[in-house]
Amino acid sequence: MKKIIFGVLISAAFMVTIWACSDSFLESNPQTGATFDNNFFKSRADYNAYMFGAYSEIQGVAPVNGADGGIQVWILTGGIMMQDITQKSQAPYDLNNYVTPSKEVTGAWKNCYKVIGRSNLLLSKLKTSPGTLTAAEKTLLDGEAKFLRGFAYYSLAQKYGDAVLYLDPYFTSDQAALSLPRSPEVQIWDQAIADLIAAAATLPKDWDASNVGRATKGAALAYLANAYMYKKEWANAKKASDDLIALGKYSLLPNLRDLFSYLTENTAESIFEIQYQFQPGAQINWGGQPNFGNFLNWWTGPLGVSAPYAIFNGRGEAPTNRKLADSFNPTDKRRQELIKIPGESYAGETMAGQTYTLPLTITQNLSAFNAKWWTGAANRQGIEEWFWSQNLIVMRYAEFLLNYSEILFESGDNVGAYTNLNLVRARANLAPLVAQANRETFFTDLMKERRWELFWEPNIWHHYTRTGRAEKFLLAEYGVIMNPKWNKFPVPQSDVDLNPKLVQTAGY
Amino acid sequence: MNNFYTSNKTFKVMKKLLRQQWYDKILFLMKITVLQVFLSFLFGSLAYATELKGQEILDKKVTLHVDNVELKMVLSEIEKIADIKFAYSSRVVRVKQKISVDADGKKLSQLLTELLNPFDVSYQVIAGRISLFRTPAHQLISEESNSEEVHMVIAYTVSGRVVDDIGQSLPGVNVVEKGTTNGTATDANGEFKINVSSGSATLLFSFIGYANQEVLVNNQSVINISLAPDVVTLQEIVVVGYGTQEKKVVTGAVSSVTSKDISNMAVAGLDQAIQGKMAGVLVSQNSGEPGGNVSVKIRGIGSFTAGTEPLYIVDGVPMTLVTGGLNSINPNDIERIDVLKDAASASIYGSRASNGVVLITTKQGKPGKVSVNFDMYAGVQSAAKQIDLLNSAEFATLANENLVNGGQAPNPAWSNPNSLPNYDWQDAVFRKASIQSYNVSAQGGGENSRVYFSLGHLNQEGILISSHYKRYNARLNAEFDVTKKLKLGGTFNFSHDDKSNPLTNSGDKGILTNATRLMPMNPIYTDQEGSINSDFYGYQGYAMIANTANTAYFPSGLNNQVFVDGGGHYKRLLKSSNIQLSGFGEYEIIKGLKFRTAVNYARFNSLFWFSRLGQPQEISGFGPIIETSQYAETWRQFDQTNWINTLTYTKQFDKHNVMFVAGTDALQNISTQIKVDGSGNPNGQFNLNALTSKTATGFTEDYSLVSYFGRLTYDYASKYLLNVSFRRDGSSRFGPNNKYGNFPSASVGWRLSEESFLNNSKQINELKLRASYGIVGNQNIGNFKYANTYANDAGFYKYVMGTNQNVVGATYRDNIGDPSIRWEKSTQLDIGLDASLFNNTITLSTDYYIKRIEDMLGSAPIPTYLGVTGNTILRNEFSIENRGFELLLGFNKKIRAVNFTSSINFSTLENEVTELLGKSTDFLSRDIGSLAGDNGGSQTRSQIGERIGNFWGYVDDGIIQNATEAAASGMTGVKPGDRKFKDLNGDGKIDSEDRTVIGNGLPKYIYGLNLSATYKNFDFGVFFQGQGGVQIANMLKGYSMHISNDQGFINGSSEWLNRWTGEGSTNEFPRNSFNAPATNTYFSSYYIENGAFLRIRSMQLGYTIPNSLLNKVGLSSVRIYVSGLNIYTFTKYSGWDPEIGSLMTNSGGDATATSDFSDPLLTGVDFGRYPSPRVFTAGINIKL
Repeated sequence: MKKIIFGVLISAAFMVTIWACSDSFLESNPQTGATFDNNFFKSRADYNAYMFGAYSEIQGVAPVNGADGGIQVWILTGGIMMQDITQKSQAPYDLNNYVTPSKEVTGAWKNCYKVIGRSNLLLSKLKTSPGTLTAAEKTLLDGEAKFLRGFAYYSLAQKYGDAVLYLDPYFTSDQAALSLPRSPEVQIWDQAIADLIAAAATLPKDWDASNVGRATKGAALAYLANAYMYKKEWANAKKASDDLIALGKYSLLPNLRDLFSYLTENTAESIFEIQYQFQPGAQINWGGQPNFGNFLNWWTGPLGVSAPYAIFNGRGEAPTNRKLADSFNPTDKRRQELIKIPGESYAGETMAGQTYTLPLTITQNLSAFNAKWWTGAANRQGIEEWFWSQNLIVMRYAEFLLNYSEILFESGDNVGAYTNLNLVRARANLAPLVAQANRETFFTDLMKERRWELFWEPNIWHHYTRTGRAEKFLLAEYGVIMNPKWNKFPVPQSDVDLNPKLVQTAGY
Repeated sequence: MNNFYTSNKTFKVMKKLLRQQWYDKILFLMKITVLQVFLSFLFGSLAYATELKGQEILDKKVTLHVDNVELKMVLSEIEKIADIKFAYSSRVVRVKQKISVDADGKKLSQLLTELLNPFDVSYQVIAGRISLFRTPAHQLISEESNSEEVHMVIAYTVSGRVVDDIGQSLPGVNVVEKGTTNGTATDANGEFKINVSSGSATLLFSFIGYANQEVLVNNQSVINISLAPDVVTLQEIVVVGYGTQEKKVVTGAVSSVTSKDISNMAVAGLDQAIQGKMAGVLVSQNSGEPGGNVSVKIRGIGSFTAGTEPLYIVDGVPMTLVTGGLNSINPNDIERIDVLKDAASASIYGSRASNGVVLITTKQGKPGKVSVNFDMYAGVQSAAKQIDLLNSAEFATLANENLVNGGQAPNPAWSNPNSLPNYDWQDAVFRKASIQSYNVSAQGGGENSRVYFSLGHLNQEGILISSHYKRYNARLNAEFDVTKKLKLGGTFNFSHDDKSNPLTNSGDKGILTNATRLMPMNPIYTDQEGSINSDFYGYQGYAMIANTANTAYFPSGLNNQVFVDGGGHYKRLLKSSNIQLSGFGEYEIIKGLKFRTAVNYARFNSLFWFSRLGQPQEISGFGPIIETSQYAETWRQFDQTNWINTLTYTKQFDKHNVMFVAGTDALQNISTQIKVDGSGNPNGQFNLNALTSKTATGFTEDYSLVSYFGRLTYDYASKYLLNVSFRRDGSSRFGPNNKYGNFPSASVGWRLSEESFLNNSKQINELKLRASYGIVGNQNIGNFKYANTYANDAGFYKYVMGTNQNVVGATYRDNIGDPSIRWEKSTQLDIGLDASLFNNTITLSTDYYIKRIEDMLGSAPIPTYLGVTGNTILRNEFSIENRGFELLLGFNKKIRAVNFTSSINFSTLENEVTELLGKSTDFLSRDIGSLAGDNGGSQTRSQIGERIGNFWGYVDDGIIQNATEAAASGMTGVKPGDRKFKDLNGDGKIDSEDRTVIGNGLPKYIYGLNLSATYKNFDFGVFFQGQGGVQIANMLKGYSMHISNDQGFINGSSEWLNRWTGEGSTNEFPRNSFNAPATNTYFSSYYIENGAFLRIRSMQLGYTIPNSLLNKVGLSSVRIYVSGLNIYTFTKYSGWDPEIGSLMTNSGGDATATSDFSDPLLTGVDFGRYPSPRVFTAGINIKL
């Protein structure tokens, strides 16, 4: 009997041991590689790393159906809407088919909300979990996050008008967030303006050498001026612009190539610039993040150009429309340096170096190539493959000056307007224009200049929709009849399906 | 008396030794060496323990009081009391006779003598068992005294040896002269000698667990026979979770394969051992590559995201399933495999049992003579099929026609088609490949110890160039009876494998697909180094497409595959090792109450090398040939610690049999991964130090499970059966509120054959009805999914900062945890029937089940404006239902001299999506992928009320024959000769709304047929396996349907010869034109093919060399055989191989090492899967 009791006790002891330990045994933590909520957001390094994650969301590639495209997709979208970007197998783009709730035009929506989501979480953590941050660091991070959020709401209002206003970090407990409606466009602008004002107040004019590339006071002011311009609040727009000029930081670069080269980045003309650096062995990730390299170079390289100049013989996916090239004054440096047509040479490589026999290539032969992103062998860094190192300038002083010109004109200063317009022309080796008071004349001049200066850059199309000139432009230049609904893009159909309160953009 | 055989054997051996010739001596020495080295040296304790000590058994004291009970019951009671085993045939011992026993501490020998004498039954201890046999009038006298027989005239003496179906000696077999009481039993070597009345007498051999055999003496003096196992071995012991059960009282749905079923086949892996052999178990190789991944689906797809693979338990220890993990088990070591299919039998494994449980039991030493087994086979493998492609003359003609029809100038180089050289690229990537396997095992044991030891090696080349697989296994299983109550034991298992495979099943990234795309006039090899012409460049013996080649004809992304993926440009090598160490102790506290504790440790380690060599610029322009080198190493490790305690109580009172098991099980698994990736490795050597830049990524994380479980098994007179079990599992993978899950089950059985109305039936030997119901779960969702986590993913999320453009790490929230996520829950109802008919000639087992899987975890999309990575969160909002019918029919009969053993299994599977995201109308789609270019959005859709993973596409409506049809087609840009689709919604236009269900890749029924026969020394087996009610999405058609696109020309299938050439020419294949619209290759029912097949999976013919020849050289058994695998496949499928598993997630470059599981929603999609080879082998099996 003793033996039985002893045996049973021993057995029981074994089992109870497991029982007693079970709760702590089931506490599992990532030892490395992942971090839980409660042990992140402790130090400046944590916050910095998270902030970089927010920046990285703008880099996005993926010019494919409906993916979360970042800035590279926005650039393509703007050019396609203008019809200044063609497609190798389809020229011109059929915009009726392109502007649908399942295509690239919805990419910016998803992408901007990624930036907003990350900024929201960071802003909330700054309040609840500041860890070892100093007050100064807190202020700085707050400004930076608000800049990114302001930039994202600015882009949403610009592209989609009414949008969802969501300022909280998302947790699964937030059931209400699943059925938010779109707020009126004006509220989106106001949110952008509020964030950008806060950012302009706290961001530094310059960062130290190791932090160059982060958002600055100038970037916040430039977008603030832009936002007011969209709202037609000309006095505020002028104030913000003047504040930017007063920083005394920005100027036009004499050499255009310096704007589009991996060798010269974050220059005096650059106001906000997305940073890329080629990484060896980077694999393409359709529909996701680029591997922190720039994809446009390869994507826009002409088809049939051999390897060192365009990897994989050039993708030739997105040639530039020949009509754009032909619209320039032949003496325009922008035409000479930033656009190539077959027969012209760039960096030792001659376009159309071979006989084209097939129709798709013939289309290309009729096309031009933008040399802003496709920069040939000379600007290819070492052994770059899919992704190149060249940064993308999203907002630069030349665009700012053209906006400033419009703001001044709308404020009644047509002389000042032309002065700024002529600054941009002068750099392009074009003669100055005499100041005109006629509204139509001014806008004709301004929009031409914008197209020449800002082709293949992210805001160009929206200058046309904002000023109501898109319809006329498309018809006159390309014979395309504009559908008025194209002034604002559709939002992802999946969101409309998931949230019945979210109404699709009118007309889609 | 009981030591008689031992001494006699020693004596015989000595005599033999004296007689031996020199070659005999060498063989004998080899035998001794093997024994010494492998056994005596490693565990010398056995050296003295291998001999029997029968007297000890017979000296056991027994106390037993029974009154008027069947002899059978009494014997079984004695078995339990004395912990011994009886071996007897019910023909010899009249077991139903009722007796009474009154014994108090009696010696066993005395008791048995008193008990058995009245029935003329004698006993003998043989191989640790007490064999019972009828006492002949003149028996059991030493051989020397035979001559003293007086009561009977000795007319004839017969001797011989009895072995089992695999050639192992059978000791204790009753040998009786038919019609008399004259009989004997075989000795420890399976040998017997009997004096019979005449040369025309008949001998009857009987042994428990084996079919009886009658042999006519026919004036032979030596009769060697092998006994075939009784298919319905009612006493068969089935392994269930945390214990074993007699098969006759099992109430769940358990399928088993034993070593006997596979021992005659040349089996390379565990998967081949079970493939097609069990009803309801679908085994398909996701790739036919050597060492390839296999998917096992028990009763359908059990989950969308948490894995569909069953839980594997090896000798009680759970296995962590990683790529090739199943390969750590040498199929030669397997004693039996039991698959728990229904929830009731699986629920003892609770939260990991939703996809069923596979219990693998490895071989253990058996008491008796040490036996050494050597197996080897070697063979040749080849591709069973090649696809019919265009040759260069046909291709050039068609390609120029293609250009001209598209309004283009023809290519002058193709203008003289018959003068062009022709190269068979498909032939160049396939090869004849060798396979070799060697196994040696030794096993033995004494009264107090049992040991099994084995070494194995498999060396297999792949039938695609540059692929190989090598495996090394070692196993040591040992058990020691320290005292009568205390048992200790353990297992050591080691395996190492080494494999390299090119990328397959990856569309235009895979070697196989690309081999069909390369133009047939492109040269493969060249003697020239450097530029050959503007199109080709000689490099290392290969003719590469030069970067100056005209892109109008040479598509980018495609270069000489024999070089690129054949080991020239890409090199991939995976080496992994698996170590398992287990130890247990078992103590019998009181009679029937045992406590067992087991500690198990397993480590898996793998290292994956990936290298892309830098290539000269002159060839770098095409496709994956890149001038920069890349090199990466990925190292992975899993450590699993597991501690299991069980308390088992067995009690029999009157006719009530009760067994109770209670236990705890704790498991912790730590996984680590480190990957270093970089470039600038100039010589392409496998050397991290040579890299000029590199990044390192990795993680270490763990998960743990703690479980409590209990099971009660009860039967009344083995007639009314009941089984109740319960498990409570805690998992670190769920949030604090949902850590624990409860998994109860119950099953009942009724053995009608034990009822009085069937008790004496000759037709119905066994009839059992079963029913079970239970709940199991699934927790295989990855760690920390309930929590918010942050990650630094070096691959994707980084940013660049500073004037020096430094890449800086970025952190992001990679998981929005939902603390409310919980276990996937699977409930299953199973009704079954087991029967054995006509003197056990026919056995039958059939089941019907309904398996509902609820609360399935899956990605739930959330609006993108919430800014969540991936725009999804994990939710328990999916449900499916699987239903099926299973049948296993066995036939086992000896007809004249031929022993037939056959079995057929058949199972059906119906499945249905019942809930998605909490809604009752919706669908879940998976993109099949655009690996074949624009195919109009190929995908699978799992819709509510429909089957899982339906192919979703257009309905092929033939070819547009004329302009009228073109205008009416509802498609833009089409001309006569283009493919048209059905306008399903009748809106007059063809768009994505016209897609529908066009097929499904999961078979509606599967079956297997196993026929085997033995005749004298020959054995023959053939095994058919098949499936039906299944379709394959042949994605290769995405390539073969166009020979040109905007990126150049590719070869196509010979279907092009039957292209559309004008109205009425064909309604099958479209026109040949450069400007054909993309819609011609849209994913439609044209891609869908019948995936049914019937395959002669294996066939073998063996011959066992007669003993009379072997005795001389001291071998106990030698069998030689020839065998074939995948000999022929009857199918209508046009691709290489209709056996398509689920598509592996494979992201191109180097993911082969890290993609563990296939996507069940992409089942039956063929992107150029590595075909299963046809294998012919010859082998030999030697027993010492």
